[in-house]
Amino acid sequence: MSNGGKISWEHEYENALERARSEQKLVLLDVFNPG
Amino acid sequence: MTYPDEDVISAMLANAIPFQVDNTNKNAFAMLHRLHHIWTPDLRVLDHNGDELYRWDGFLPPAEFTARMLCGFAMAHLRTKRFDAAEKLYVEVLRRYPTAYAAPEAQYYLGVARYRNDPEGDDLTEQWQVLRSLYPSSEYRLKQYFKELPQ
Repeated sequence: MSNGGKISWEHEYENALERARSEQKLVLLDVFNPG
Repeated sequence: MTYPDEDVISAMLANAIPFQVDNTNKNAFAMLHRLHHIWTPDLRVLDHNGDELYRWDGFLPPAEFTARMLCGFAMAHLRTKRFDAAEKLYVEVLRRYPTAYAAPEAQYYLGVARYRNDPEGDDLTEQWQVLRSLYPSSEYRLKQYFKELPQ
């Protein structure tokens, strides 16, 4: 998930929830503006 | 500046799945409406059902961000009655970031987490005494002020 100081962000909501469920973790949702 | 920080990354990945939404993406507008999104960065801690358990917004530099984020994870555990997990994270915040803006919150809720684990113990009182001592000007000191009022 991290490669040399870079986070690999999930971009699909259901995938994030499923991974949180299977890995027994929370989800950190970041709403950002690319501008 | 914040996300490349190794401490931020480590704390994030140890506790959560990082999920990012671009607020200019039309496909995300329905979700943004549900979230009542108004400003960026907009951070939410969700459980695996999508229930929101903590939120904050606005830029924070790495150390403050990590402290706030760990408090968010701790609160998520507290709200889902995982009191041991909450306690562990609050202790971590206070050990690593005792001068962070999030530290008084961690101190306050450390007492709450221990109390919820053992309502018969003295931990709430003890932790709130530490709160008064270390963070006397904080809002969280005010939140426990009722303990100082005459009975």
